[in-house]
Amino acid sequence: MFLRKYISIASIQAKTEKTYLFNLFSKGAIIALRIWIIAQLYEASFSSGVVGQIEGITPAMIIWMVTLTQAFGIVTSPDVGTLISEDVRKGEIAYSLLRPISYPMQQFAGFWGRSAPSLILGTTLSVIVAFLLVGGFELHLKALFFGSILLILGLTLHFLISLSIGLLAFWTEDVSAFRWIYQKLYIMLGGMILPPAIFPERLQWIVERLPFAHLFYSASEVIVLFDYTRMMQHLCVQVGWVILLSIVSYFLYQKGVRRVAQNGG
Amino acid sequence: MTGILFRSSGEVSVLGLDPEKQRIELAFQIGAVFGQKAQLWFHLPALDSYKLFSEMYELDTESYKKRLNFLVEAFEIGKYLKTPVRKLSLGERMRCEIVASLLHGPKVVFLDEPTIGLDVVAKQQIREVIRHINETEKVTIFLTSHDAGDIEALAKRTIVINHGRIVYDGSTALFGREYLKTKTIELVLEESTERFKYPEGKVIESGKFNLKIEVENNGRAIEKLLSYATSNFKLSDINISEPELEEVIAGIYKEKRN
Repeated sequence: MFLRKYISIASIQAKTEKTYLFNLFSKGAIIALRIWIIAQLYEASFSSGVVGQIEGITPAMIIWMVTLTQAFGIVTSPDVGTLISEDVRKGEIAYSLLRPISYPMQQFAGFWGRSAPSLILGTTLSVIVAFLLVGGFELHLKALFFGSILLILGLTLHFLISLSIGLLAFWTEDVSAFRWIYQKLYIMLGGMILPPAIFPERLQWIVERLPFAHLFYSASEVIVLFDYTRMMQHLCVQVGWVILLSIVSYFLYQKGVRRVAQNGG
Repeated sequence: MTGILFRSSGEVSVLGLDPEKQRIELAFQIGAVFGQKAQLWFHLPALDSYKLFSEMYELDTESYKKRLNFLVEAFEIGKYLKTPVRKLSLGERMRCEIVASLLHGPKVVFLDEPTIGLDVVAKQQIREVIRHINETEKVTIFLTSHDAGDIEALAKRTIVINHGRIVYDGSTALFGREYLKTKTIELVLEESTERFKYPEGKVIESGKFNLKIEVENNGRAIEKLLSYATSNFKLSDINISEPELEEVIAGIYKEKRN
């Protein structure tokens, strides 16, 4: 019974997304276009022949990793932090607090409901584009399996960061600045354009201990370049950040929800 | 009282429960509609939202269907149950919102400005709906409204709050009487009103053949005015009226401010 209500929330959110198929399709198409542009840039960079591979990674592998990272990153729109901050500012949070549900869990269920249709469609379109551009790669079942686990954890991590940012609205009302910073961090350090696997060693060490590379990138790296040791390293970092951010967002919510009174709801 | 806001001081108990500490438990027994906010999913039919709420409130399928059929018939929303909420008029949407708040059979319902933005006909329909749920379902309704018409039409008990303090708490019927200081008497004469001079009343409106005079709200003052009018003039019509409840409330707030 407890889970059913959140599954229902996810389900109604997914149904809302599917109501406007054109929006859904265009989100996927934009990702596919981005991948095409990035692929052209990489092909131009590598076509000079000076560099054939970086750290044993071919251009095709890089493009595949960036493709999947970009595709998984489709879940960043609509932004959870923005949705929560609007709930707080407009007082829409009142209805959630009136019901026998947890507001953070409601948002989590809503996030998965919103993300699932665009994730499926976006990934499908992106994979088709990447395949047409650079051909396929050797995909192992275990890579897909572990990659899926890392993807679920990565998206959960993204949700927790966005939730924490959104909950800051109880204090600041406008969280767009925090959101902007977070967005730039996951674009630069999260493998959206340049995979951390080809970063200089010292920078790679730092980046791989921050959460940004583990939102969407670590799943794509495991799928394209499966390595058990790397997979376990990514998993440990993800689990650590998920635990830490769960605690942070829990305390932010407990403190923040009392401030509904001060904001007038 | 709903557990949404946290109190700065004092105690609150709703149905024997503390809204702050027992929010989830209380949630099963209360419902709410906020006039300026929507709880139904905007792009989907109300039926989809109702299904979701039935899960949230842990209603089994049979109870939910029975309850929904009853409410749909009572509030006559059958014909737009499957229409996306964004396509409904404000009045239709409000009826669907009220049904959503009643789906789980709450004992207390909070209606916050449910008639805001509605035209006269829609307001009337919503008032009938509210009266219906109070009388047939025995649901206690907390109605907040800036429309005195809602209060006059529906509330047995009225509480007027000014800057967080209760300035009146009692019967709606007696409310006007307690704060009514004047009565308005309209006189329609068969001759010109030029000669009409009555210093013990205040002329608030004057035409060629008619006058509206405000006098103190006591039988003696009214009798005196009527006696003067009937003795000195030929009258074709008399109307005695009280100030609107809205004016009474506005008077209270002005008085407290001064």
